[in-house]
Amino acid sequence: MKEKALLLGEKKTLLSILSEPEVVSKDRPIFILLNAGIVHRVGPNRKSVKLARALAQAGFRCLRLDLSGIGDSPPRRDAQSFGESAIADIGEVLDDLEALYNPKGFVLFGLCSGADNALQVAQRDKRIVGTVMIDGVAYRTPRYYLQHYGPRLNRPAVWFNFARRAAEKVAGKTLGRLPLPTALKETLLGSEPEEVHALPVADYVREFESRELVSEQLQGLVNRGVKMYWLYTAGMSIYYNYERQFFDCFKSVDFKGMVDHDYFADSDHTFTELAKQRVLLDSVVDWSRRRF
Amino acid sequence: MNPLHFGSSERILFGLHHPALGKPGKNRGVILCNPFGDEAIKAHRAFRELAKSLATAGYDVLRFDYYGTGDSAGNGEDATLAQWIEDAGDAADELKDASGVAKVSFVGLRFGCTLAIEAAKGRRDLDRVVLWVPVVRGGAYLDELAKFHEALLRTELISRGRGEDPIPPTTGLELLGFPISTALRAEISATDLRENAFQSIRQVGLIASNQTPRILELAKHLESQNIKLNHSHIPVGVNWNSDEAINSSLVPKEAIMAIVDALSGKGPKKKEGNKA
Repeated sequence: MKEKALLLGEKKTLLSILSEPEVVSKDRPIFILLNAGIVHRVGPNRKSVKLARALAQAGFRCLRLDLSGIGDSPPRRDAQSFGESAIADIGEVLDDLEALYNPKGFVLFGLCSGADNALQVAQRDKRIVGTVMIDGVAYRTPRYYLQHYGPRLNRPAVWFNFARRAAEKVAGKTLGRLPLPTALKETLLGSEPEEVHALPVADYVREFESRELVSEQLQGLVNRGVKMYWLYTAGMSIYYNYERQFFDCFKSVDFKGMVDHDYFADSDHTFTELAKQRVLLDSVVDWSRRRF
Repeated sequence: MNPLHFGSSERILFGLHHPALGKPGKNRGVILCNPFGDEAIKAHRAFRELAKSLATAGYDVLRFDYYGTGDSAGNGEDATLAQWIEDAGDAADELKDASGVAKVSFVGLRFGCTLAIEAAKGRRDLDRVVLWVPVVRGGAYLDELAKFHEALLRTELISRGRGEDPIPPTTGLELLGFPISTALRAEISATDLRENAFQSIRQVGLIASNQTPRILELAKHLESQNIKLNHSHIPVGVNWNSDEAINSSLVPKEAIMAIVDALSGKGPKKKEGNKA
């Protein structure tokens, strides 16, 4: 395995590190590891470096890229939004790599915003033959809420409060029908009870497109033969909290066996623990070998 | 900015050379010494901006990754302090080769300060050393990182996915996503800048955000060794390692200006007091 630094893109300003295997098979795609948030090309916990080298050991060329305005790549000067700029950057990098190596397509890898960028590019650029997305788009499902609120149902206090409030409501309705002054009713009933407060579930940390639109995008990718590996962690329990929730989110999509999925129920979003990092690396390398 | 690989074939290091801008340059080079582990990731943006500011001021600058870190070869598990010190020295030689500068300075951030000092010792081409919010006691620093490590996992997992499962006790061989070998842990633990003999280092800039007792003791220690000390106190406006800083375009501008001043021999700017 050897590595070299490249300056890619139309202006040759996008700093990238290419990891190359000793022997490169021509029928394999090149992997491109995208920035996670604005962490530079080494990735959170240096994970992108480890993954690129592991993929190179497995026989894949792998590029770690700083998008415009991140890490050591300067911002674009064409006043594009971050999303547009990322898509334009990746397209230019694919052009360069295609001219240099003529690979059999590209696989995009992204965590968080990197996964969002990967999905956007994959549906626009037919050179993308695979994607690995960690904590990418997903939606809460009925089972998500059950998983989320379910543990509370084992607590007697929750049932006691529920019963008390239900009783108050019935009593309130009966009393409420009687022609009594409001002040007297409030004295008897107390003021309007609070909503039942469960664990707060914040809004999505990122703005996802509608489920219908994303379902269409996924179906388009599957129909095009794009192989996808969707991974989620407990770090994103704000919207994802059980194995195979992905498939419940997108029930209308016929994945035709093109999609693999894993849920890391005991890992945080950036795989802080070294043991979890190793599992992730093994999973991605194993998937790459199986699918390409 | 020119990316480059240097070092031996068994230990290839990655660096970024920022050539001096404007003519003529100062004929001086600056090596930026990264902090340890997660702090190096968080320092990336601040170091990039510091390098740009120094290049604009006429210095040739080299940012680089120690062996087993960042874009350099190797695994973090195999890193040793002696090797990292040698890497910083090799980086200085590489910068001289690439730019032709006659003298070099070292700027360290956090634990990078210890590496900057050790790499600078005995160099005949040394200009000065700048210590940016230095880790004074290695042992106390590792204890702090271990606490952060546990707190992070507790926040990220117990309150979210792992329910009531206990977080496994810290093995001490990993800190905030980065490995640390038993040997490296022992080496870092043994460091204490207040007991360091600075030898041939004669000019030191000290940029601190808090005037803690340890920092004041370090300043006193430096002065006791007849070192010309340029001590700046930059109260934290933008903390270089905060989540706000890493997720935005914020950079610690005041600290960067203080470092540029310290390298050019300018004393710390005096703050205006209340006039009677």
